[in-house]
Amino acid sequence: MTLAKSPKNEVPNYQPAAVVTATADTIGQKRVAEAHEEVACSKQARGHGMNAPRIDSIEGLFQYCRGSLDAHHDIREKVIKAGRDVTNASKKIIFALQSVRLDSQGKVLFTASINSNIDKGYTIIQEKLQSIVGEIGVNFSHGVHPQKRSKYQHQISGGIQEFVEAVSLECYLREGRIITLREVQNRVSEWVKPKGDNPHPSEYKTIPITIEDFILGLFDLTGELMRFSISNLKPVTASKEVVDPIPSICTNMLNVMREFKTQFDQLNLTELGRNQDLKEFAKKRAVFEASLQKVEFGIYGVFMRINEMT
Amino acid sequence: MPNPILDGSVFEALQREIDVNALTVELIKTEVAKLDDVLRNCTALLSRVHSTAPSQLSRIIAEYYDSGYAQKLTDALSGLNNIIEGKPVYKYKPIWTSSLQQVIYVILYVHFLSRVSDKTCTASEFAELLATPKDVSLTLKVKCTMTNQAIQYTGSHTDDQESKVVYDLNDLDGLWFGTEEYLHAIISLINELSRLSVNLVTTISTTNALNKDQSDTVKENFTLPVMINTFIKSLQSGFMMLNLKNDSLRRRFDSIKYDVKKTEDVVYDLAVRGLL
Repeated sequence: MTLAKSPKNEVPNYQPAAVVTATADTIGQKRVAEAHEEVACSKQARGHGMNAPRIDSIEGLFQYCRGSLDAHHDIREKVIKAGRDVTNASKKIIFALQSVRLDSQGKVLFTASINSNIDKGYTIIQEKLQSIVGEIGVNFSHGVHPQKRSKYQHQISGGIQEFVEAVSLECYLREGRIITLREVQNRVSEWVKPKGDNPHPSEYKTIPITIEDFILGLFDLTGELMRFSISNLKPVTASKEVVDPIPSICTNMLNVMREFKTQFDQLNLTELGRNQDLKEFAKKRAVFEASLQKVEFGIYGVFMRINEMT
Repeated sequence: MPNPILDGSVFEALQREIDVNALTVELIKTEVAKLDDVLRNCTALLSRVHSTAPSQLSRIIAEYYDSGYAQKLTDALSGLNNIIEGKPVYKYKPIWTSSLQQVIYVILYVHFLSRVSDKTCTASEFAELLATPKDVSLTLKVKCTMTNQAIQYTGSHTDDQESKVVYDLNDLDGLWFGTEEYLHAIISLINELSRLSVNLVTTISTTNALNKDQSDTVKENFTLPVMINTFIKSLQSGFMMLNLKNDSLRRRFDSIKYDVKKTEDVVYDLAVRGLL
């Protein structure tokens, strides 16, 4: 590892957004004074035992390129791996949440083992996100575009969507409402921010939860809501007396899903065009419509049977 | 009043996002179209190199600069830069990447041609035939993630100095190019030079046939095809150092060997006829 560090003042003046070198681990601790000297994703090139490449020779230039491409592929793979782990842990949380049962009043009952499984999942997700914040994190504080993202956003999107699905399902089961994007973002930012006495938001980076990922995560949530309400569709009884033909949480879920549909139907998606981020929408939307009808049909069945019995 | 269960504002935000996205794509495409127009002019001019004798190359270079194409390229790029500044670069990058690669290629090609038409340049200075990322960046006034490296390595340095390779800058705003764009441009240059190598033999031969009554000093010699062969071979060995993944760069790299072979054949043919 023999590359030379350049003094900051050597940055040529034609270059407004100066490039400054730093490693991921210095980010958040050491802040370069000038706001524009922002470093995002940088990585020490793999040495491969070479001497400092001299970019003024063809060989040196390609040695530099090799380091640069290797670093790129390393980061890419690291992010993909972390993304896969986040997906996995999120699936475990969702599985734990699906095993939640309703008590005799139709209230959601979280057992200690379910809670501990959920916490385990979050711990893993937190660790994984922390491990890649240096690579894919962005700083929100410079008045930049809110949809700012890193080169590797595509590699982490799947994991983020699954994570949104898990947190939103948990929030819904605990509080009966859909979590907001801001809450999810704050949670992630809290997780990945560096330890120490309250650093200012401008001093650390966070992993962006894009609107696209959030909404796609909510689409996935509707599938879980469907699963949960179908498997809990039985009359709530207290001392053999039917209190409620169906648990109120199921009706609530149906209402939420209908609210989703109202919102989705209002979206003008004709401009989606070739946007990669939004391509999945049409697909997930169809799945969602099917879930909604399944719940509606399930509730219909319950009431049909009640009519039959009376 | 906001819905207590489902905050609908996120859907409004999504709608805004979709609309802004559509608008931005339109704006960027308009700028890229302008850039492509200039690029077509440049490549049209540069295609005449194939029917020009080496001694006349400087005329084409002069025409390139006199026509103001260099300035037009910079202007088009700065227009594009203005549009994408402050926007999520990675989201829209695919729209301009291939045009940007093409621009870098033009710079590399013009640099090569000016070097070889410059009589003081000797065949041994291969590094000088290739415009460095820093050269490209300064010429185009476009930021480059490789630039700092260029700066730090041209200065004196000792081996024990610690340094890092900045691969990528999530927060680097506006238009910039990096390793991949530069390497793609080099491959385009190799493709072009292998064709040039063949055509040079024709142009040199015809020029010499016209001047056959003149003294030998006026006659063109065949050093340029040899120089091209050596040059692209050293580029090829550079590419061989890279760990390429199965991407577009790899596929294009795989085509280099045919270019190298073509220039080797030209040099062989010249050699067996005693023309070197």
